Parts: sequence; structure tokens; C-alpha cells
Amino acid sequence: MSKLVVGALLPLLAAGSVLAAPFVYRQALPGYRFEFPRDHASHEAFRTEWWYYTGNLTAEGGRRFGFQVTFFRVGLRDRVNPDNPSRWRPDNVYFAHLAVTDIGEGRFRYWHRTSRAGPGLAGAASDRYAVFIGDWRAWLEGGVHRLSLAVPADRVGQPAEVRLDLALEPTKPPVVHGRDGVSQKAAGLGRASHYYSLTRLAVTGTLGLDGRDLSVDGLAWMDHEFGSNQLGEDQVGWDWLSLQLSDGSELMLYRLRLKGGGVEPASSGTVVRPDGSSRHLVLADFRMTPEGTWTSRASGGTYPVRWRIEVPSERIALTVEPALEDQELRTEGSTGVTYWEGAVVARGENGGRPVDGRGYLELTGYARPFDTDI
Amino acid sequence: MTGLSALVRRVTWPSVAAHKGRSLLTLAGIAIGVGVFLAVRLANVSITEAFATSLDLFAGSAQLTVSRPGFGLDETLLPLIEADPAVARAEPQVVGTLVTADPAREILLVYGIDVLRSRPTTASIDAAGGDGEDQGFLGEDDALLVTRRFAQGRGLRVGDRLEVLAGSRRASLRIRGLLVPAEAEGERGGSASGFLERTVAVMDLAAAQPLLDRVGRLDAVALTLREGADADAVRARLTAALPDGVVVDRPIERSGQVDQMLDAFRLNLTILSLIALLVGVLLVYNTLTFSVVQRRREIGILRAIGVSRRGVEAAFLAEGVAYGAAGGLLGVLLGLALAKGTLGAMARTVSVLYLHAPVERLRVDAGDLLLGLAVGVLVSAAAAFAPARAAAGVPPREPIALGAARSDTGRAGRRRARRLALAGLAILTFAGLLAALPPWHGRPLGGYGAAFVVLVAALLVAPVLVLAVGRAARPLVGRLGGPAARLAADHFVQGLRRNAATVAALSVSLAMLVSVWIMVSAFRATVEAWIAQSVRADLVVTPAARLGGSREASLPAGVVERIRALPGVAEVDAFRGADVRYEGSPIVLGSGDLALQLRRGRLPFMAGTPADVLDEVVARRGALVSESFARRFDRWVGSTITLDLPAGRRSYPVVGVFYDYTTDRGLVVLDAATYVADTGRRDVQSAAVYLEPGADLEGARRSLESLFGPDAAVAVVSNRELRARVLDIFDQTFAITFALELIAVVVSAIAVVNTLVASTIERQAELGILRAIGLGRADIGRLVRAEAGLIAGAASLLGVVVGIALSLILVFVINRQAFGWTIQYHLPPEALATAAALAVGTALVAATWPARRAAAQPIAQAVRYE
Repeated sequence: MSKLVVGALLPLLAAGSVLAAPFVYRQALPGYRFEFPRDHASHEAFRTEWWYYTGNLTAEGGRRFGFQVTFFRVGLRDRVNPDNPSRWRPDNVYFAHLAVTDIGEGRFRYWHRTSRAGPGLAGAASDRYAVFIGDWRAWLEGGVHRLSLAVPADRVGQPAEVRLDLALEPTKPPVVHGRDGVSQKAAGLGRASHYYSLTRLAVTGTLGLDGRDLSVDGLAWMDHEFGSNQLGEDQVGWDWLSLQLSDGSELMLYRLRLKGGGVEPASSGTVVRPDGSSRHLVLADFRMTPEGTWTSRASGGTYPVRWRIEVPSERIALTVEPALEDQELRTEGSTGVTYWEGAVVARGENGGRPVDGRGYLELTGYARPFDTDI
Repeated sequence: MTGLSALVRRVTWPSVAAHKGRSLLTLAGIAIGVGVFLAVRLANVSITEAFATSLDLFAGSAQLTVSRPGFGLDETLLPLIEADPAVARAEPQVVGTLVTADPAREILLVYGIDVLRSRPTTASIDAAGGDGEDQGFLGEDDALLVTRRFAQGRGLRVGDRLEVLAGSRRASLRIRGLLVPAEAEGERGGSASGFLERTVAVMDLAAAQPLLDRVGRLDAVALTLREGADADAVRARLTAALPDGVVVDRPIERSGQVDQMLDAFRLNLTILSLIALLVGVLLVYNTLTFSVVQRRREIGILRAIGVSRRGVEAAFLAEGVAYGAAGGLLGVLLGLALAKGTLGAMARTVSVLYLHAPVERLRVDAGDLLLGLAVGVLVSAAAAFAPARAAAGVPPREPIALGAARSDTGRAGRRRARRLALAGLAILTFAGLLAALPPWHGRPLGGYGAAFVVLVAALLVAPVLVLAVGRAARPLVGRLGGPAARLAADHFVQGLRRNAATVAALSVSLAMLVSVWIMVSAFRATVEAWIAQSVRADLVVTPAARLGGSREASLPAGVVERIRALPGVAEVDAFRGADVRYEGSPIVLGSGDLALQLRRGRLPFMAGTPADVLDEVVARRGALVSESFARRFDRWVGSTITLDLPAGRRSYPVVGVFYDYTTDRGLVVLDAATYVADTGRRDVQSAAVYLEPGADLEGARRSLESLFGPDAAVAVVSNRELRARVLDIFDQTFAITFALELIAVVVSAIAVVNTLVASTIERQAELGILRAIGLGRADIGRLVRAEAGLIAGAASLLGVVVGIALSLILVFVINRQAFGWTIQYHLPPEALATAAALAVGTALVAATWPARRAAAQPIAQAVRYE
């Protein structure tokens, strides 16, 4: 989801458009018809877009990992001079975040990259799903999502710190969030995005850690969202949660926090049933209650990393615990945003039956929310 | 040591203190010598380091740099470079120059970088700069970051506009942030320099590429390697993977290239600065020699009371060292001031001749200052050596009747003078041998050696000359000036050793002045004739930024066709050029329409008739090379040269060698069609316009000026203006040389004053008696002036002869080897006459004070001096 991560970039990259450029970004408006696989690809008509993979993996021997792979695109076509012939013309700026949580070892590591398209340095195709920055890539191959990312060691000759080579196969069709093709983020037309998820991806592949290649499998979640100016002015942060439950259903919830402590009325969620059918949840349908915090020594931010989740109408009641407390990303030099994004475990009931589950929690706006560094 | 210090206290110091004026003059001589030496060194070092730090600005930590000299690196190679497993960061950049559109015409050295991946390593960006909030400037084509000092100096603030000339266009940029030296901010580690040249500027690559005419191309990619990477292995791997002509080197080698390019220029200046030092040495020698002669009696007494020879020698050496230390100290201060004053002029010269030098700050490190001091002490000690030996040779208790003055013109002295002169003539053959040596690593060391030997020979011949001039002058001056003048001639001969040193000092500086004068004047005449012959176009169209000092500016696309269509225009020739490398050394590759040259121009060739050569170059796709190229690489007609060009590796037969004085790097010229085909570059740096017979020059100029529209910044220069401009640049280049020469003359003027003052003091008794027997004050003054005139006359004679000899070495050995060009030698009589007049004038002015002093001495006191 991570809209604030990108939102933080907007004042930075897109403010103060000096040129009266003819290019106007398209608004996310009701009536949008998703079509796949076309809509996996990049939507250059919209200003911001991201592809977001989070998942929980198990290696042979039972060692558990969480991973996050995100590609962002921020469009600047309404401020660049379209007559500039340079390949470096920043029509788009691409960001990528990679995080791996070694749950058993209690170790969280993350990396990030930033680039414009330039002469083949980064990009996101519009006619097929293929995004990349350098050798970090995500693409679609015969209905299977592929991720390939590597972080070389500081020293030459040493094995890569991390190497991620994953095949992610959807086991359910895409779920479109919101109503009528739009996920509303604030009051007002266009204060919205087009947002869908692949809520249950079966993952197989290799996770290389400091030279040891581990065969892994598990479940992942993919979000793809695009829009142009969905952020409300008074929104200060964001709590987003995705869970894959042991009974074959999934749950996604998000809360937009307002200045002064309130919650954006447009906050919403989605329940996905084992058969793939889904139900849109409005704010009144669910409750997210913080039950414990963790304070980052590095940023000073205090994050509510433990939650109680209730969707009374679905008879869902869950407690959510982080797989590891410190899963904070500080991305000075790329998006410049500091946020918490990490693997979680859930336990409780769904439809009255006991379930457990795994998922990812994203908490933004708790530490230096708009730290700009470019 | 106590013995020595007591000696110094009792013998040296009283003498130094008693002759304050002379001591001060000696100090001044050393100070000027050391000062000039240090100033040239500091300016040289500052220019080199300015290049090094400007390379550091964005590649401070880079171990390797990838570039494509001359044509720019194809930017689509970047992913390939970045994919090398040893590369941690690959930072692309373009570097070019913009010229401010105001009359100040300041040159900004602009770095176009990917602001998303590169940060300056020696600066931080203060984007707020006072007003306005921090907004990213990515995507703005007119966003520019300048240094805070540049902005403050012009009263500019963030958000203000700056009008610039970019190539042949005028552009309005907006200041979107200020660069502050990293040190001031205390972040990013701040490299050792922590200094930003005021005129560097930064843009995003997307904005810089079109503005600097680099779309699709990069000037460099700075590579930071992973820890433990073997830079040589990476270099070999990348060189193999990238196309021919791409250069992977260490940043230090890039500044090494700059060093190599400037080598001849700097060596020349250094040698010139040594001349001033040499004159300073002669001055010390002069002073100490006089001191020894004057104090023979004292020395005899000291020896009699038990002071050893060694002790006496040490005392005089100590005196020399003391002069050296004090003069060296003053010289260091003077050198700092001189370097500050001349750095700008040197930087301009380098910018015009070689490449833009963003030099503004003088780099001084303690080592340089210590070196200056050490040089002062060492040369003074060396100069003190002979007088100290002479002092040590004074026998104990020498019976001395007449105190100070001792003539050394006895038979022994004369024989000695003759022997020295013979030795001087003998070593001249050695000079001839040195001059015949080939250059050593491109440096004309043999030539410099020969020049030095000639100077030494001049010193050796000086005593005989003094004898001869004195003898010859005696009857002549006697007839003209009466008894006083005759006395002067006698005395001139009597003070042989001292006067010989003075004559030598004055003649050495005169010789240098004369030789450089002859060389520059011959060179200037050669260039003038050459440009008159080779530039035949009526008008030349060139980007205004180029006239402002930007070396890479191009004309708008399609310019040749548009000019050709104008009424009154008969033909247009387009000149293209690029700084490329040949066998690893920087050269210039250029092109023109050689068929047109055949019809119109008269390119001066060293061999062959222009028609044959030009026919052949078009027919055989051959190359013309400049004389400097041919000499440097030893490639003459019949040989083949191979260049790595964007189209691949190409070989060209050399079909002609032409005279050229535009660059000492060497110039290779191809026919336009060959150049465009093999380089893929169509951009034109300047265009030569030939008008129809009888066409109106001013009318054509006006229509050319309006051809490019109001945003263009294109200069239209007439043939006459172009010639004047070339000569202006020429004169500017040699301004520093002349300044150094004049300084040497000033030092030798000090030597003359010094000698005359010493001489009048020495002869106070004698002068007093002369007064007593009836000579008037005016006569005494005339006597002193006549002696000065004799010194000057002898020095002029020697200086002019030696100067002519040196000029031959400069023209036929040093210039040819260092720069590779032929200068048509001729002697400008006005130079010789002016130098002689300068010498005599200098001596007479120098004599004023001693003459007045001698004349003013009361008779009684003068006699009592005895």
C-alpha cells in the first residue's frame, strides 16, 4: 500500500511546477475497468505507482524469513520540458526497497535504490509487466511473477549479502479494492487510487544469505496501486495490514491517520474468502486497536507494532504480533522516508473458528514523516 | 661554534651594520630572486591542483574514470560499465563551460551530474539559501547551482536568474541552490581541500546535456570500486569490454594528462624564474667579494691572533648564509604576493592555450615556502663560497698600507682574467654539443643546458671585458670628460673582481631580456605572416562563448547551409575539431573543406606545393599534420597515423606537414567528408565565409549577425579583427615572460647601485683627497656616473652578444623541441638598441644616489675615514 512512502516524495519532486507544461496526470476516477495482465504493467498516465511484494518464507529445516520488495514510480512529466532530447530527462523517477527479516536470527536488513530511466538504468514497461532498477527486477513470465534482486557484498570476492530469486504464482485471481474500480483515500473526486492485490501467491525460489543459498517456499502478497494526487492534506500517517489466514482467507485493512489524532473516514479494507470472492470493508466495519509499541533508537519513532483486529460482521478477531520488533527502514538518499514494514504473525478467530496467519504490517508517519533529502 | 659566533659578532655583523644600504640591497636581490622562483612554482602548483580538485568535486573517492577523449562516451555504455561486479558506484558526468552574458564574461565550469546518484564530495548543497523553501529542481531545464561565493559576489540569491552564453546560444538559468565547501558544513568527510573554486557550477545531467551540447554523450563516468577490488584488473576488463578509443584510467592520470599538456609551458616559466635567482647569486657574490677586499687588514689581524683559515672561511660563509636566510624569508613573502598577483594572468593564459583552468585560489603548502627559503640559503652559500675562500687565503698580519682598496689588476689578476676568458670560450663548444642533443622525454633539456653554459661563459668572459673596456675607454673618456672620467676608467679597471661581477649580473639579465625579446618578436612576426597567409576568409562566424573562453562551443545546426544561402556569400568552410588522443597523448583533430582550401587558401606547407598536397589528401583520404605534431611524434609525409574514432580504428597516410602555431599539442587535419564519416560528428565550431568579389563586408556581417535570431550568441569577426585577436592572445601569452625578464633587470639595477655605493665608500679617502686638491663636487659626481656608464657599456656589449646567442638557442633548439614550431629568425634592431639604452639608463639612474653621496661627503670627514 505504502502510499505515504510515495506521498512524502510529492512535495519534493513534484512541487513548484515552473513550466506551464501541457501534460496533466490522469485522476483515479470511478468506473475504471481492470484488465489483466495489462494492468500489471506501468500506467504512465498516472503520477505515482508502486508494485509491492511482501511475504513469509520458510527454508528447508524450518528457518523462517520475511521479505519485502517494492518498486515505486513517480512521474514528473508535468514539470519536465518535453522538448528536451536528453535520455536523462526525468519523466519518471524509480525507487526500490528491499528488506529481508531473518526471523530465527532476529536480524532485519534493508537496501534501497533510486534512479531515473536514463540510458537503460531503470524503467517500467507500459506494454508488459517488467520493472527494474539496475539488476533489481520484477516481471511476469507466463502468469508467474518473478523477482530477482541481489545485493553484492562490500568486498570483492565475497558472496552477495543477499540474493533473492523467487517465482510467485497467483492461487487466486486479482482482488480489486474499493468500489467501482477506485480505492478512495480522502473525500473528493480523484482523491483515490486504482488498487488491486494478488492476495495469495505461492512462492518458490532461492534466498541467498551471505553466500548460503537456501531453497525457500511460502506465501506472498502483491499490491499494485496507481493514482495521481490521492493524498489528503491533513493526513499524517498510515497503518496498513495484510494477513493470510490458515483457513484460506485473507484480510487487508488500512487506516489513514489525520492531524489531531482522528482517522480518515475513507479508510477501508477487504476480506477475501477462500474461493476468491471478496468484500469491501468501510471504516465502520472494522476496528484496529494498538496494543503495544516499539521505539526505534535510530529514528526515535515509536511504532504501534502490536494490534488487536476486529471485523465483527465477519466474526474476525485477531491479535497481531511482529515477527521481529525492529523492522524499520530509513531510506535517506532514496525516498527519504522512515517507516516500519515488517513480517507479523496473527492468532485468533475467523467466523468463529480458530485460525492463525502470517502477514505484513506497514506503519508510516511515526518518525520524521516528511524527511526530505534530495 | 662559539669561535664562529664570536667571529660573526665581531667581524661580520659590524660590517653588515656599517653598510646598511648595501646589505639591504643584497637582501633585496636575493628576495626578488627567491620571490620570483617561488611565485612561478606556486602558480604552477595551483593550476595543477585546481584541475585535481575540480576532478575531485564529483569523483573524490573514485578509483577509475571512464571517458572517451574528444567525442564523449556513448551514454548507452553506462549499464555495461555499471554491471561490472567490482563497480560499487558509477557516476556519470558531463563537464563544460558557460560564459556569463554580462561584460565580465566570467567562465563557469559546469558539472552536469545525475543528482539522484551523485553528490559533490567536496561540497554540500545549500538549497534554501535564504528565501524560498527547499524544492527539488529535478526536471527543471534551467536549474543551476553556483557557489555561495559566486552568488554573493554578484548579489544573486536562490531563485534569481543568471544570463549565460551556452555554445552559440543565450540562455537564462535560475539559481536553485548554492554550493558550500564541505568543510564549512562539516559533513561528508570533506576532502583535504574543502575549497570550491568560485566559478564551478552544477546542473542536473538532463539540463546540462542539451545546454552543453552533449546529448547522448558523457565526458566521464567516475567509478567507485568495491573494497578489495584490483583497479588494474577492472581497468583491463572494462577496456576489453568497451569500444576502441574508450579510456579507463585513474583520476590521477587525468590530472597527469593536464600536467603533460602544460609541461613545456611550465618548464619554460620555471627556467625563466631561475634567471632572476642567478642574478641574485651574483649580487651576493658581489657584496661578499667587496667585503673581503675591504677587510683584508682586519682578516690579517684576526689570522695573526690565532683565528684559523677555516674560521675565517666559516665566518664569510655564515655571512652568505645569513643573507640567504634573511633574503629568502623576504623572498617567500614577496613570492606569495607575486604569485597572488600573477595567478590570474597565468590561469587566463592556460585557459586560452590549453584548457579551462578554474584557478582562483593560490595553493600554498609549508613545503613550498621552506623550499623557497632553502633555495635562498643554498644559492647564497654557493655565492659566498669563492669570496670565503679568498678571505681564508689572506695571510696573517699582512702589512697593509692603504687600508681597504686593493687593486687586483696586477699581472696575476690580468692573467687570471685571461685564463677565465679562455675557459669561457672553451665551454662554448660544450654548449654547441648540448644544443645538438635531441629532446629528453619531450623536454628540451639540452637546449636549457646550452643556454646555461652560454651564461656561465659570459660570467667567465666578464673580467677580460672589464679590462678591455677600461683600457679602451681611458683615452676616450679622458678626452670627453677630463681627469675625473679618466680616473673613473682607471678605477673601473682597478675594482676588477667586483665590477666584473656587476657587469656579469647586468649582462646576464640583459642577455635574457634581449634573447626573449628577439625570440618573441621573431615569433610574433612569424605568426603574423602565417595568419595572413592561412586565413583568407572575409568573415569568420564563431560562437560568442568561444570568444569568451569556452573551448567546446559549437555553432547552431545547419549553419553552413544557411550562411551559404545569404546574398553576397561565395563560399563557406566549416571547421570542426575535437581534443583527442594519439598514442596516449592529447592532440587536436580538426577538419575543413580542403577542396575549398585548395581554391581559396594558401596553407603554408613545410614540403610540397599546396595544390598537390590538398589534391592528395582528398583523393587518398589522407591526413595533414602540423609541424608540431610531426616533430613530437616523428610522423612525416609517407608515414601513417592511426586514430581510434567513434566509427572505429582508422588509419590515415600523412600527405602533408603544414606550419601551425595554434597548438603545441599537435594538430591533425582531415577533409570534412572524412571527418564527419569517421567521427559521426557534424557540429561545427566555426565557419569561414568568403564573399563575392565586391560584396559589402559590413552588409554581409549584419545579415550574418541577424541570421541566427535574437537568442543566438554568435560572433561575426572580420579577417582583420581575427588577426588582431590572434596577436592579442599572443601578446597576452608572453606578458608573463616579459614581466619575469624585467624583474631580472630590476635585480641587476640593484647590483649596479650596490657596486657603486661600495665603490664610493671604498674610495672616500681618495675622493676626499681629490676634493682637497681642487676637484669640485660636480666633478666627483661625474666621476661616479662615468664609472656607472662604463659598467653599463661593458654589460650592454656582453648582454647583447650573449642575448643573440641565447635567442638562437631559444628559437632553434628550445622552442622547436618543446613546442615543435619553426620561427623565422630575424634580429629586431630596436630590441638591441632598447636593451643597451635600458642598461645605460639603469646604470645612470642607479648612480644618482651614490654620486650624490660621494659628492656630499665633507672633505675633512672623507680624509679622516682613512
